Amino acid sequence: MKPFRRTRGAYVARLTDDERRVLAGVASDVADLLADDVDDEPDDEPDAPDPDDDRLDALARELAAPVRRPQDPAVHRLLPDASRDDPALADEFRRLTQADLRDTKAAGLRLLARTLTARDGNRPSHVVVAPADARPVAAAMTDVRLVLAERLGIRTDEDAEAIYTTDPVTAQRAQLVAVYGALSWLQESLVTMMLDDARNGVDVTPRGGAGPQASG
Amino acid sequence: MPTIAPEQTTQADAATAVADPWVTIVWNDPVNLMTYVTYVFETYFGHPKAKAEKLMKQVHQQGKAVVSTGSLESMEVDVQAMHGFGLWATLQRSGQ
Repeated sequence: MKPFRRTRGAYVARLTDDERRVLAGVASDVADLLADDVDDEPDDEPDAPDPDDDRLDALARELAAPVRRPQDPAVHRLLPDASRDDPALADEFRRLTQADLRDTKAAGLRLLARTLTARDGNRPSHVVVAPADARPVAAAMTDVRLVLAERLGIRTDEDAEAIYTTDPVTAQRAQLVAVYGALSWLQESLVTMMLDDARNGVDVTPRGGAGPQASG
Repeated sequence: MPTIAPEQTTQADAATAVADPWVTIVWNDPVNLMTYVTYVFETYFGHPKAKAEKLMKQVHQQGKAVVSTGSLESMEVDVQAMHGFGLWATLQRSGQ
């Protein structure tokens, strides 16, 4: 695995076939996890239809119904409470934003998976992130790492350091640690260049055709 | 040097509270990279490098930082954006 660098107006890393397959698989798994766990339907069954209600009333009632918190702690970390001390405010925020956030995150995770599996015929090891995709790809890398961290029991900065020095005990845990480490390293190299380009006034999320300048 | 009467101070505080009654707080977590948090603060909020890095260090070392202030509606937009980036953000009334 080689870190991201700027090549021909894009961010390019080099991965082996196995690395691509494993990382893309994990990104797809997290997208599925998000789709499976999150239920944006109202908590309660709707009341028996009232013949005096018109459809707009029914729609308004449905939109005002509470949205369930994610049950899986890893998914909850992707869609956290927006208030620590005001459950009503957190519920209201979830009702307003959860479906949008879930869809945006799922789309970003699918984009990350596609990016990891896409092939350049002439350069089969290259993983190419177009500048316009860099921000959602980096965000999806964070989402995958958040889920892996939850599964690995990383709660503190010390925990995050210790996963690399503690005996992983099981092969499955060793694999999760390896994926977490690889994604952390890849994301650091990608975001370092994105930040560099943002500071140099290079638009990393171009609306038109103006991509970042290739620098080497 | 003129002193400000207590009544005036209270009025000024009240005016500030009305203008910016809510804040967005970003909390430390063991996953997000310092580079990434700085990138979010610079590119989403438009903070200059020095301010973005200061806020990032405050999150990392003190556990949290206020990253924006404003109306409830605008803080909801900011918190949603932070959650979109995978940062752990909450909103609360200013001064709590």
